[in-house]
Amino acid sequence: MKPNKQIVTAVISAALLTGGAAFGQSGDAILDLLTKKGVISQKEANDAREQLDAQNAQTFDAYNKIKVSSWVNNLQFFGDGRLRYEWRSGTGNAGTGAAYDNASLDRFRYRLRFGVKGEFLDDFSYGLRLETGTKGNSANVTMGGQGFSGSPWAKGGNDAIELGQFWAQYKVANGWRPDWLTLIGGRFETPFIQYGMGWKDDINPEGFAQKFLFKTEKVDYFLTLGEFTYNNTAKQDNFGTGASGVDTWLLGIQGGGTVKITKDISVRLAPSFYTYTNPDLTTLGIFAPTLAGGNITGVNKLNVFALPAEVAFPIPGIHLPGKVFGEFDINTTGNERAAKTAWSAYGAQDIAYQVGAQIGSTKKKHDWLLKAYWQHVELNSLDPNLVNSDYFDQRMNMQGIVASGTYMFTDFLSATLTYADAKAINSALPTLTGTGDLAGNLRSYDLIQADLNWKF
Amino acid sequence: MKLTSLILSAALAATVAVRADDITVKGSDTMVILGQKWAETYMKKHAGTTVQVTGGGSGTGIAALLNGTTDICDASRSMKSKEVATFVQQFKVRPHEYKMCLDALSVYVHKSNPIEKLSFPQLEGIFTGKITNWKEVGGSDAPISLYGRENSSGTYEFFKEHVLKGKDFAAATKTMPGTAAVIQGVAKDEASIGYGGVAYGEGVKALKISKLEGGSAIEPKEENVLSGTYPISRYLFNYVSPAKDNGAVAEYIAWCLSDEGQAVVKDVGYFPLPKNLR
Repeated sequence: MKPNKQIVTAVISAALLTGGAAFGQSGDAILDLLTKKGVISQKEANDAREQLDAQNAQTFDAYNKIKVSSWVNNLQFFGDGRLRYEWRSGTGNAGTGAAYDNASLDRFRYRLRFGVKGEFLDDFSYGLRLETGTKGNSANVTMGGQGFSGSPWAKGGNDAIELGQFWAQYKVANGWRPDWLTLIGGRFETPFIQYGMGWKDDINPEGFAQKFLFKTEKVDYFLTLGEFTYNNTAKQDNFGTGASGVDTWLLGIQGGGTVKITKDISVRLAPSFYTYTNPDLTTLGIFAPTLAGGNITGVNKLNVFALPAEVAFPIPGIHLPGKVFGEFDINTTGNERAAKTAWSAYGAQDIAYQVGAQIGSTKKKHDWLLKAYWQHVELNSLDPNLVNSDYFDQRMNMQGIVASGTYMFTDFLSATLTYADAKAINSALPTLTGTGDLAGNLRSYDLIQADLNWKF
Repeated sequence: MKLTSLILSAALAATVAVRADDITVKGSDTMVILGQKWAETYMKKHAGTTVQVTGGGSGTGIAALLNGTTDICDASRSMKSKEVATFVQQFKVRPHEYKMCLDALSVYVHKSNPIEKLSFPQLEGIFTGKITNWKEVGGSDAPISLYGRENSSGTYEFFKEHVLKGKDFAAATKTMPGTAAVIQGVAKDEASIGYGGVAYGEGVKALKISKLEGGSAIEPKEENVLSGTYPISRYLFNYVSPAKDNGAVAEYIAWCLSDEGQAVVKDVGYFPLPKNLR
């Protein structure tokens, strides 16, 4: 075939006159047509495309008002919004001696999270997410709940925009076994596999994590290490008799594997261990809950062995993904934790477990997901600062059911209805008065949440 | 100092000279036989050039192209837009695509199977597990035994996208590591059905295919592929990084597209690319 440089040049010139990405497509079509007609060869068409792309990139760069450093490979804005109606109700009392009574609340809430993430230098990625809410375990803002400072709908409380996530990550992208190593530092979502019992999803720890992955045809093996600064003391050593102290770190290790039995059926086990440095010396104090309050934040004598597990499989007949999941946790120093409280006569109270199932998915328009689980969390079993603040009002010594259903109206808009019902495991023991939005020493608890969610 | 520089320069030049004519080709198992035959014929006539061909599947070849560990990627499907985007992110330019020849993706059954033709809806039913007995499509009363490819295979992806309309293969499908293994399995199993490139169809029966139920069934032959009537015809591709599309690599691809290279295509059992498309 004879090269026809004049035609190729004409195509490129047309591209320059037309300009922009629009020509990218029509230019391709013209080059394809010219190749099909035998006017130019595939090689010439490829070379012409290369020149077109270079010209388009230059044109785009010249007109683009947003400039990004050349070493940044890409940049993506992301986020989500949520409107929520919520009703919580409980039976209990405010402390010792008082008769049991009912308490309830209903409220409308919203949550906004938005951020930017991307990659630079191939193996490195970065991200940050801003969100409403000042608490570490919730980004919710209660409508009309910011007080009345001279006008309704005051600003500056939970509706302030705070830094929710910020991270830098290195992940091996190429060469021998891509993805075998991921290093991450900053404030980011928990790197550990769990199902929301011992660690609420909204909580983003600050620190470092290292993830190792070894994939084989049948099994994906993983090992995750996490080191999180749980409570930082301003000075470890001070002048003279000035205040000083020690830091508390939450350390975790999780190793395990996902066995791929068939393309759609898999089994995953992720045995884990969590512990805290200097737990007796932290300013969080020693865990000593009472019926009326007491210390409910101490992390002393918490050395938790956890075993999250799941079996994923397609539901026969309806071709939808299904999953049975659960977690068993035991605080291996539960007796010692109990001994520091007024409730040691009731034993270690060191077990927590969760058993649940789900059907469906939430990947695209018209997808739906049904999920339900039973949860049992004894008084000394888990870190009371990390347990879910919605479903059981961030309480220990509670057990009950959580059920939810989600429907995707579009690929980005969904609705979720959640119901939870829980009771005290041992009614003589506290359910941690003071935490949770209902307050009081609850004997039973109910929750209804209706959410409208969208992502962008 | 001058002597050291001279020796280093000479060594470097020698290395470059050797490396320049060392071509690696990786990817589609469907194209392995063709690739090896091309390489063999080419190397006989170009003594200074080594062409090393390995399979692994189109997905593996594309990953190697993205990693920069192969010069040429053989692919039995076109690169997905996401893969092109990843390439552009990495190399700031699109990969060069070459259509190398034509293939009639064929559906194979055992030679003793009385079935002669199947339609797309029947194939979809069979390979998704809704049709499980040959008698449901006019054959004898025997459970259908399915043979297929791994998900890194371009043939797997092409068949899934064009015939199964994106639906998943039945869990009972026996996953084979290459088209040759599919054919071997089908040749031994009387109740079997499998799919693969037309060049592999030795010792098995290739069925006529119709797109619609009751439509005219077409044989996987060259004239039917060229006329576009055979419904699962496709191009087989080479992908090259533009930075490498010169020198020995460019010469090799040009030769594969020449009359001599296309004669090899015919020899192997695929269909040469019409001259106007080269």
